Amino acid sequence: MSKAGIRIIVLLAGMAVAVPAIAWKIVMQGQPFTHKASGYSIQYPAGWRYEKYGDFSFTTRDGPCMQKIYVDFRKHKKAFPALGKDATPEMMPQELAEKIVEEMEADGSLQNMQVLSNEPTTLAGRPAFKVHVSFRTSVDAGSVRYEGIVVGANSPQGIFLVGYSGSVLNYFARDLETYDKTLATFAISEVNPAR
Amino acid sequence: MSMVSMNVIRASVMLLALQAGSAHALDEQEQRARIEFETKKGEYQIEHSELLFKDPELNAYLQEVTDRLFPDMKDKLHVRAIRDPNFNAFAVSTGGVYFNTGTLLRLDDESQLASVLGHEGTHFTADHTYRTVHAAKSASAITLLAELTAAGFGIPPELVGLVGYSSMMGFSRAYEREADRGGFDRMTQAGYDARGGVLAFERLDRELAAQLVSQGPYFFASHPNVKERVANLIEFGGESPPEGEKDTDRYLAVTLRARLDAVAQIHRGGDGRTLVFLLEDEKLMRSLPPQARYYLAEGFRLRAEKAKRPGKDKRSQEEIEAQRSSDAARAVQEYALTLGQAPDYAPTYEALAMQYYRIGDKSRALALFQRYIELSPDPKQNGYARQYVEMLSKELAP
Repeated sequence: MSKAGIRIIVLLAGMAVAVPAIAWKIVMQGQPFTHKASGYSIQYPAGWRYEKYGDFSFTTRDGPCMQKIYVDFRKHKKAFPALGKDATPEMMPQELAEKIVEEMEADGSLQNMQVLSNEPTTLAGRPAFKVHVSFRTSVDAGSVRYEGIVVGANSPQGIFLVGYSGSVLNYFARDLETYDKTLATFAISEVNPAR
Repeated sequence: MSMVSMNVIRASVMLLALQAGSAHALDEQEQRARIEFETKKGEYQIEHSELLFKDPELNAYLQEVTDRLFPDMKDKLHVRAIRDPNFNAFAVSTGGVYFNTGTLLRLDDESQLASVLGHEGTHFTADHTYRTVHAAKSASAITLLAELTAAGFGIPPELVGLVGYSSMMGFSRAYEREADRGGFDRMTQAGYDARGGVLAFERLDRELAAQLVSQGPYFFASHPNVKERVANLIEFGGESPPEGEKDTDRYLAVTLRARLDAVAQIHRGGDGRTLVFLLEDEKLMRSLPPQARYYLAEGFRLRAEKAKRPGKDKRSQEEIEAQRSSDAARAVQEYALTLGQAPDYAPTYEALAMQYYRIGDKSRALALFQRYIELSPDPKQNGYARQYVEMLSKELAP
């Protein structure tokens, strides 16, 4: 499976079964997760499990199918793999948001995809977008209803996405506040110039 | 579609062909029960999705035209509009006929609508679904293959389950010809202008030719299929002298919301080529409100943005660049025209502001974002524009 394919599955629908060989680590309070190559750090919720996969990392308390918070760094080239499109450093938050939504809509496994809100915000002090969506899995996959939030900002190096998704039943609303707190800890650092 | 996906489909075809031979043979009653079960499951999924275009007046109108075509099938054929910007319509074995808003957009009058409804209704009256499944011996093989193909081509997921149990991807040439014949007869008997079908499909044929690509697995998205419809209808008398009803005014009035929705959906899908092809047709443009010109401008902008890189296009880099800059200039012209024709339509200001921002004319962009906010004061709508005004004001401050 391609990296892009795994990304979409892990980030949106949360099908943990498709993620190869994950060795979970436990998040410790006061020890932010730092991704040196992608140039960001974030304090994931203490006690949750986390893992890094390429340019993105994610954390969950009860399993990725239940809820997860993630950071996805995408270089501008092939930033939207499902659409076969690049981004540019000049793209405005609204344009990025539209591409992210387009990408989700192109994913056939997400049914009844609806954009609940799409508004400007800031991420690590940069102009950003915040998109809130709902969707459900197919009837054959149990018609499970999910909601997801993606906050994203552009930078000269690439796009940073900090997202959260969870099943509507029991999880999404419960851990939303945890996501907001986690989001506030996100910081963009100097990117390794070799990348 | 990627080579990998095509290979998956090819492998599946072989696998399913092998399975077909060993499948348990169902008798007619069992086969019909199975088709009905799967169809109802698929229809339930559509019913509980956002795919239905909820416009009672439009649905009543579609039903009225269908009942006029099929007076003997009242209460058996049920038509619903669905939100899909592509040209298609399909019938299922329970009598449901689903009609895309994108088809409504591409038709001019009621006689053209009747030609498509007549064709689809005939698939139901002639029992084409059961006859196709029966002829294939194995319903599971045919439907699995259809579903695989549909999923690979990006049919809305809510419709994938119905692909193998409907006319969505078409039936055999003989059945399609039978549907052409049946539809044409119904249409002329109901008093419609016999040329409706030929005119509708010729226009679609021009669109497919202009796009130079297949639009997916929908039956009416194939150039040869559409050409065959035209040839059949001409043979049946579809080029007779004008006579019979067209009822253009009523058609355009009742379908207006659906047609505008289809335009907006094509726009959301980022398909600049289709927007330009459709909306450069002044006849279609005149049937829409003045602000629809905004979508033509957006079509040129999107087409300019999507101009292929050299190597992926047979044209030279100079030709691609020339097209790109001509499209970008035409987008600005069309935005300006829209501002003249619909001066209170806020999205045009925002779009033009973005264009100026992209080319570095930040003071013009700022003024247009500010005007957009005045016209669209809802904070939920203008959030991004306010963000840009703040950014640009700081940048442009002396």
